Amino acid sequence: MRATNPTPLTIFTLKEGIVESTSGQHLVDAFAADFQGLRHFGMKIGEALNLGDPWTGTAQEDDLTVNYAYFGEGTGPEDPGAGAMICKKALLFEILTKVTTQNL
Amino acid sequence: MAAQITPSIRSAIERLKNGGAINGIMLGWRRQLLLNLLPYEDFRAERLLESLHDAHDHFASGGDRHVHTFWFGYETCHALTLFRGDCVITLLHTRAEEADFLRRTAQTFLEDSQLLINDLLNPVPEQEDASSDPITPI
Repeated sequence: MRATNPTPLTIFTLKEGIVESTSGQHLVDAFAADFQGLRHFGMKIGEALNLGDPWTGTAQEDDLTVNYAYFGEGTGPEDPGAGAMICKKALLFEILTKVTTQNL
Repeated sequence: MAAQITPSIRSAIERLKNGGAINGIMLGWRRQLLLNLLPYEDFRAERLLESLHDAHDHFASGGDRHVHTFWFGYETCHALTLFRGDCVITLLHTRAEEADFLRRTAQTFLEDSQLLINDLLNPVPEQEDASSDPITPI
């Protein structure tokens, strides 16, 4: 499901299996769907290459970038982390840095 | 006698491997593995390729979405994947800060190597040397 104009950067928190944000519920739902998809396929890729579960994942289109990252306490569904969504082709490392520094 | 210079997709990818702290590269065409330069056996590369296409199809299934880049971080390395047309390339790399540079490099590689990939998919039989052509009677 495509989000509708989450500009500028919209930040989401992942805590005890719940996605939260100060933005609207439709954006939370859109991010949660992408987050679940990313996490699932990241785990499949990790399984294929024997790398374990991913601690971060990003999907990018021409006009949308979605990222999530865990804060280092684990990569389970209940573990804390954060995510971001922005309606542009953002720099991968920049958006990862924004998300991981949400814990500071 | 002129030397025949034949650029190969393998040599182009080998050069790409020197673009950063890259552990391995995989190149696929649709769901077919073209080159596996990952530190894994082919069956694992094939499973990777299947998972990548499944992920791509999953995000495209809702409508007009086209995810062209996936980037995942694991404990030991990152996996950067780019889709272009029917081709998909995955780079395993260790430094997260190199992701954007590697993405641009891999995009350029995919754009520049379409003819080489076409040669790989549709090999033409080697042309006989001109000197070995039968002499036609005058």
